[in-house]
Amino acid sequence: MGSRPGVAKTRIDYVSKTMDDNLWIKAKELFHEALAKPLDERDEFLQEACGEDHALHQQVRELIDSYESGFMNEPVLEKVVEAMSSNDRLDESSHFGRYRVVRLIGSGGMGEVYLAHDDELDRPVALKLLHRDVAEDKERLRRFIQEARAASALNHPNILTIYEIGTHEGARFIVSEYIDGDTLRDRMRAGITPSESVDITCQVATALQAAHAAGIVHRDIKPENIMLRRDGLVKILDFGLAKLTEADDLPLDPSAPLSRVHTTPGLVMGTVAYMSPEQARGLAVDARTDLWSLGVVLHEMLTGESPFKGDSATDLVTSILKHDGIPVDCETLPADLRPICSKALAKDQRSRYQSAQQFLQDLQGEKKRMEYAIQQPFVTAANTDELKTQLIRPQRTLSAEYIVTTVKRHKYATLSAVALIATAAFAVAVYKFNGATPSTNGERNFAAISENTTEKDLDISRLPSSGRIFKVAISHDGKFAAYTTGLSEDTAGLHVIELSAKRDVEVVPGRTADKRAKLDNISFTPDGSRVLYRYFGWDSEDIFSVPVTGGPSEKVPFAFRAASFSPDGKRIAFHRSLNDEQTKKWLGYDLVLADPDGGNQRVLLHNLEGSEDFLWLGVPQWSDDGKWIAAWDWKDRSRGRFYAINTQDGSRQVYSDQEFSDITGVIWTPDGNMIVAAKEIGAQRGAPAQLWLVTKTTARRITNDPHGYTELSGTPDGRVLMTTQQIARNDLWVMNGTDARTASQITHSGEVGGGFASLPDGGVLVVSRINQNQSFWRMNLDGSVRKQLRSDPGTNLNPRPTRDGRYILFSSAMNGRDYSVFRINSDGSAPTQLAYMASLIDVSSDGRWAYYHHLEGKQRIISKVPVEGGPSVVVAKLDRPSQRYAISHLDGRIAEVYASPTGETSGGLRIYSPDGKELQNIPLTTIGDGALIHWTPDGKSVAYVDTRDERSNIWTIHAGGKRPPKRLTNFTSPITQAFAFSLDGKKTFVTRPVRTSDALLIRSSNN
Amino acid sequence: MLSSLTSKVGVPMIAVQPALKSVDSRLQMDYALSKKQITAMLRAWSDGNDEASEDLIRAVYAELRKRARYQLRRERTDHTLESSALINEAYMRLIDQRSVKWQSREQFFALAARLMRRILVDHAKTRHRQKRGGNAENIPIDEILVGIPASGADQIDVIALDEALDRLAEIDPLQVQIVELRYFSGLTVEETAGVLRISPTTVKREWAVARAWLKHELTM
Repeated sequence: MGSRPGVAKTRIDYVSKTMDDNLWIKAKELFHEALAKPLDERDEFLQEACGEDHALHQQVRELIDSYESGFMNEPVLEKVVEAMSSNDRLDESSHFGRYRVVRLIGSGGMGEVYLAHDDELDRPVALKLLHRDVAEDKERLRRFIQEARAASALNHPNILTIYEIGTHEGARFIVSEYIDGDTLRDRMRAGITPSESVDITCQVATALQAAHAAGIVHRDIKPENIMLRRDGLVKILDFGLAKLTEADDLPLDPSAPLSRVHTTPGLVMGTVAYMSPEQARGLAVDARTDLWSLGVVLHEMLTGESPFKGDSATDLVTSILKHDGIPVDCETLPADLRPICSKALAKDQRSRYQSAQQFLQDLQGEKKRMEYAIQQPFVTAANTDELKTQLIRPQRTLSAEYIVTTVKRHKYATLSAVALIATAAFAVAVYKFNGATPSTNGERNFAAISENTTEKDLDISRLPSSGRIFKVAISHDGKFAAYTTGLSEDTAGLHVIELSAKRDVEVVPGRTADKRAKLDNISFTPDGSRVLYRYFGWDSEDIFSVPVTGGPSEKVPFAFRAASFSPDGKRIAFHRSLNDEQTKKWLGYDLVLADPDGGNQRVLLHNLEGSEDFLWLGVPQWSDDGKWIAAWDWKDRSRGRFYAINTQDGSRQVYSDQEFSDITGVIWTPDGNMIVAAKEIGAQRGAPAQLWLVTKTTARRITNDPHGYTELSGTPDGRVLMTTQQIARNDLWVMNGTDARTASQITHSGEVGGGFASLPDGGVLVVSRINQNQSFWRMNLDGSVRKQLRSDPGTNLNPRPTRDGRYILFSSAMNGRDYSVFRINSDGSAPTQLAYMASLIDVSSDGRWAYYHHLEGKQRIISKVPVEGGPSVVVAKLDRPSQRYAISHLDGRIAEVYASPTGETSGGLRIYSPDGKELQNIPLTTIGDGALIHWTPDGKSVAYVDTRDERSNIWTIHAGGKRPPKRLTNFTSPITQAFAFSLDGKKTFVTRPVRTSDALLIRSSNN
Repeated sequence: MLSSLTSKVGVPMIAVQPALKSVDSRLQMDYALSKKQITAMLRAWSDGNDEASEDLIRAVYAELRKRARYQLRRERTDHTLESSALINEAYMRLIDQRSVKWQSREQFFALAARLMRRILVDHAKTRHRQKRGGNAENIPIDEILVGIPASGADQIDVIALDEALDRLAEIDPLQVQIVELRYFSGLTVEETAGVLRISPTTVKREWAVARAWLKHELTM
């Protein structure tokens, strides 16, 4: 589409024409009506509809033509995202003078900071580019440079060393030493202890002491300007930088207006919060201003919040100026540190610490005291809701009884033995689970599982865990296991467990939810001394190694994404991302082999995503002889076959023709076959991934377990295999009203499967699912007095008792594939079918009618049938079939959940009159597909589960549709699924499905 | 590289609203703003008719950008960009959900969508300035980023589109919002309906008209 002469004029004409509201509205209407007609009737329709109005006719015609051209039918989000991320940044690998840009590491109000490499001196540096508007005032710039140089010249270990300040191609830049670590702000988000806080404050005070002695005031001490190196050394950044934004003439009058806050451009709240009262007033500042700011930082580290609060810069300043001593509500401040904070935050400069040295003395005294104090166990205050979730542990261990398929003539063959001795193996597994770790006896020799292995030798165990293990790796000698665990994959920490000693060390701590980064791709060095891992944060992606006994992590500077050593330790394989230079978009990766020091690199595979021969491999898995690396292709991003890549020449050999999906792991057996964790193509939806043995010609499932396996790691000798297993559990809880804090657990078996209902006798009815059977249980709300009412093969769903306590109605597929509505007596006896091929909705409050729905052609028919039996009566016929309905006990209105027609997750509610007229359509973006709904006990609103922002809660929407939805419950985790109100409306039941993921070790001892 | 530096300054982020002009040059003190503060700004904005504050826009822009970079760097074995997730995550990270009204979330989506449109347009203008030294016009959407002109009728002149949307805003502001949410932010019909609190049917209808009108505008 080039430029078109005369276009502008035409456009104006057109606009003025369309400004005729009536014409536009008419055109819109006709446009829609015409679109609804078959193609060959449109012309005729338009002729008739427009009559003599040619302008209208033409306009509708044009709208239709335009619409049919498919114009704008693909969103440009991807372009927007690329624009956002490529905008005005220095490109990676580009050169800036003698500095080679490695990547962006941060950005602040004054400019962006990059990690760069000084090619001349061969060292990493931080390169800060100043925004132009910051750097444009020559005089200020001069003063800043002078002061920054002076501070750097102090050569103090706690002050960032500046290497160079200069101009390149018109851009101002500062080059300084590169700090590998976090800002104090980051660290505070992750949580910080009082003793750490005091230590950090001491180090900052030491630096300030030196700077102040040289006549330099920082002016902008805040958590963003304090960096913490990985070894704990604190560095202060940006000395003198505040000079760049400071007003030129500072008044001396203490009653001067708040000039600075109002006039300084670019001044932001983050800075205001740490301003001293004299700074806020725009008065001249001295060393004592820095001590104030440090006092604010200390207060924030200790209590988690700033002593001054306000929603705007002006409010904040008012708070600072009004402030008179430490606020009384700061019980969170440790008592021994209150006097120190109080003195640092004295409003009057003369009452404050007069020098950094004084401040430091008090801090050091306190530090000593703390070092002697007994350390209290530190419990992070998760809310009760989360804590309860974490306490749910699986009670059953590996479902060994399900491993049925035999694998003959292979070293892992005797997994099959389990099938023959299912019960015994299960017992062994349970025993081992209780014993926590597998090889409690260090003298036992473990051998590769072989044909000679008998069931007695097979050792399947589960690592004790909170059920949230994500990635696993086993050391080459099988003595250490590494795993990541945490509340989510994005916050997981890395643990190493020494299996014989049961010693578990958290070698890399987990992170808080607002500082997410993936920690994955873990592998051991061949000597078992260190673990390699990838740390994938917002702005960085690096491979680190950490000692198995804990200690500082070291970056593996040349490796990326995923790395692992060959069994002989002589080579390391890793990925190197290929990114589009302009857009930074990920295009694929190179698989590179190198010497352990990064030398002698060779690209083994050049993998461009989307290309015919793209191979994927996760953490490179070497065969025992080091000759092969396992990989799989990824056709249509959904299915793959396995390959062995020759580590000499990069050639590949396919392993069997079988295609898999959901591939999460592959390892080698000593005789050159692969064991993989994957699903077969065509497996049932929702079926869990299994372990397979893949040879050059065959693929064979070796587990058949209701719980899935993901991730795989193995020792090169094939003796130990490590994997993870997911187990889904669903239990019922009850709470008073809708208060999550009162939630108590009713069931603990994890097998709530077919619904539940409040019973008139005050108890609760639960349908549990165990294997292929479904059972009705009646129990008290504390889970006591359990009584099984009946058990049927097949599926029973959605039980509803009558309020008189005589019957229970439910949907059941026990008589075949189709659901029917059944009635049983409240003791579970006398099942009677009331309606065939129908699903129960509810029972009327008088207990006389059972409402159900069934499909007839494309229509959903809502009917009712007498509970005592008899002919059904049609209540309503609805045009748009859905699966979920609820009937109001108040007035018989029908609520229906619909999913979006395109199958996306969002949908909404429709409300119908009792005879099926649509009254309301309420789109709800957060309602789940096929979500369960209930009318609220007052019959006026519809309740549903809404999952957003990692929280699932019950919300209600008024059926009149005019009011915004209301949240009823206050859960803070995303696991609420089904719910019901008690018959008296005073309690709420919820099920909270929990998926646990645990690490398993499978091995065999050779007697 | 020099050119990429020059673009750092003076790129008008949101030309229509003066407060937003300097977003790009001084953005990204986002971490200096607490959730509470950003939440308060969003609340203030959705309560009154005032323009969104500069700090708010800056924070939202920075967060979207961070999210976008992360999305791009992710391996693509299973993911495609998901805009509602992108915006939603930004919302979660910026806004204290406990203290905002239900509508705030929708307001936030609308704001983010407006920003996304601006980002693309400004980017196109910048690229164009760099390329041809000044006169920014007629840059097909596919060309501005990947450097290769797309073939066929699907090229859209992003700056002309932007101008057409400004004209459409005078006739039918709702349609403009729909275009921003659907086209620039990639929301589904249902998500768009949720944000605008209208029915999906209305979204579909208005979306169809808007597309047709814009096509007509741009090809006449």
